[in-house]
Amino acid sequence: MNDPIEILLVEDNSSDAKLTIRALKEKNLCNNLVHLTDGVQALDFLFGRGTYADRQIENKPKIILLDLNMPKVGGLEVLKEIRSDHKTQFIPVVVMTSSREERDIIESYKLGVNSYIVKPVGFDNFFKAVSELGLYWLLLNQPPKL
Amino acid sequence: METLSIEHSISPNFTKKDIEILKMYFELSKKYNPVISEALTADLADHPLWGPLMKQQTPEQRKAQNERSLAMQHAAIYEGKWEEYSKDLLAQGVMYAQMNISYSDWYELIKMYKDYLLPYIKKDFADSAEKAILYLEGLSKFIDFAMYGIAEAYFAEKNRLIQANEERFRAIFYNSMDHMTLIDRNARIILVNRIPSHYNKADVIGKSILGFQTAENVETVKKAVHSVFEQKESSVFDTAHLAGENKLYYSSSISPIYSENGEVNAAVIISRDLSLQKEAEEEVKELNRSLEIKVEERTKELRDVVKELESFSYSISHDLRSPLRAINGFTHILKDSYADGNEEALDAMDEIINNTQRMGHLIDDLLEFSRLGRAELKKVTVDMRVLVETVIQELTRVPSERKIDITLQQMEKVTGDQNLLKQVLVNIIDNALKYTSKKEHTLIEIGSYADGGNIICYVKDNGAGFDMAYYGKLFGVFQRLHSASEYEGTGVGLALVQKIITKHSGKVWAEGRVGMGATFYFSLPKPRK
Repeated sequence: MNDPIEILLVEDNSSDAKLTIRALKEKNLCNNLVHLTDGVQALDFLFGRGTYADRQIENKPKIILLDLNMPKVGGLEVLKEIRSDHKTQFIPVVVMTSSREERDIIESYKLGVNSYIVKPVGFDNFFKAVSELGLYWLLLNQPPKL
Repeated sequence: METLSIEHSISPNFTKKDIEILKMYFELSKKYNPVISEALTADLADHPLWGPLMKQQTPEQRKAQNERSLAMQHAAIYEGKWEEYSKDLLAQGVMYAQMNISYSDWYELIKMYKDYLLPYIKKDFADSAEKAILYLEGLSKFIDFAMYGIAEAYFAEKNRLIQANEERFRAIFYNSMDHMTLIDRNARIILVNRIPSHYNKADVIGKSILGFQTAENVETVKKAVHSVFEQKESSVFDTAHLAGENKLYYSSSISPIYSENGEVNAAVIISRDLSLQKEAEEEVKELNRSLEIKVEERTKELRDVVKELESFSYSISHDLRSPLRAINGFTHILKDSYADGNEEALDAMDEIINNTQRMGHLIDDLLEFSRLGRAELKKVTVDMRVLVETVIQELTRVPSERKIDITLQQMEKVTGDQNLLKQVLVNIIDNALKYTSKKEHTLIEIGSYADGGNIICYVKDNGAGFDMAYYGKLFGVFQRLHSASEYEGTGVGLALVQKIITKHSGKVWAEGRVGMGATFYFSLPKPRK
């Protein structure tokens, strides 16, 4: 577990998770991906709590792909906590959701999301969206050095 | 002015001898009456009471009246016909009473008349003192009689007037909704129009009104009473009275009552009970409160329903799309990795992929449709020509081999929501393009014209048209007149058009024939000048 985490995927829908992972794999962007299925796990993972109490939290993911509609703690709450803690505030977060609701989009940007992506129904578009955002955030984006 | 009907007449008890001397009196009066009357009139011209009254008559009228009076006197004295003259006397009494001439004022006038007459008596009877005395006796008998008749009627009428006034006063005083209290200089109650139910008459009459005030009001009332008697000033004040346990609220006014000499010996306090008003105010407040609660409840119910609908469309948006994406995605994976050139399998998988995509569009359209229902209109003046040109440009951006001619006729400006109207044009023009796709040469005409306060826009095409028999289904949600394999679509477009136009208080309609094209019309309000 000492390899640097590249991508943290927080997604409760296993089909969507599989498709996302597959798209990233195609572009070889999937070497160090952690997939968690709800908000509680995500927060435990990021802040070293609960089942992840032993984790080195300095090992931060380069990007978090975050679903909004999840059981227990939703994506917006996760985003809020990430942004309000100095240890995690600069991690790029991309919301990937089925929701086109204006209020979700506005709320996400208010909380400081880096991108908001509506998952398209069509596989071609979905594949394209995932792989492009992976390329951008993992290879092109320059995060601030802490 | 009311008049007293004189039903009775007074009849004198003159003896024969009396009549003889009355005749003496009459002859002299008749001789000098015009002269004395003129002199009297002239002298009284500036009299405060008689002057104005005399000016109401012309000299001719006065002369005629004199002559009539003399004629009546003559008939009475010479022919014993007293009735008419006595009636005239009574009428005079009534008139003086009604004109508010006092009896003494009138008596004064008679005395003056006598004084004017005396020199003539002295002159005519210079040779005979005996005759003079007889004459004077006749004069006094006649005046006594006249005074008696006038006095009789005068006081009867005065009494009647007083009684009528008293009745008017009682009617007003005792029937008033307000409380009226007469007080004397010492603030003692002389008269009240109504004794409150919790008091006896003896508790009220003769008692000081200050005793009925609450402690904090005593000074206010004292001041008002003082100023009404000392400064003769009316004033207005609010008071509260103790009635057992209850406090009653009054709005009061106090005014002086003048006696004949101009002094203020009494005052009247008129108090309006504000309790009823207060009660009514409370009732109105209570009604408002319950109304507000009701409105709040209803609003909450509505808000709940809207919330429910929102979460419903939210879950449609999210939950229905996810499985579709999975079906679509995994079918793709199957197709790419495992079909291995099996045409039948590839075909089946394409069907799945196409259908999931179609379902996705349906969901998106449905969401759009429900979102529109909630959207608020931002009304502005819309230049339809510019908007139509933009839409055409967007819809024909992708190059195609089709031969398309779009003619743009006169386009009037309208009032409406720019974004929503664009949606309308996109849907209708896109339809026109879609249903003409099988024509060799597509002809579309777009225009508008004014009709009363509205602008009617139309889009005419030479496409597939439709059967008017199914017109009823044209604008229904998910209703289609063509199969998806013939012309793709979800059946939401025209329903959306209708919803938007209806929200603009406009109408949508269409004409068409199978294979002969269709024309879609919609009306919108003209821009306000």
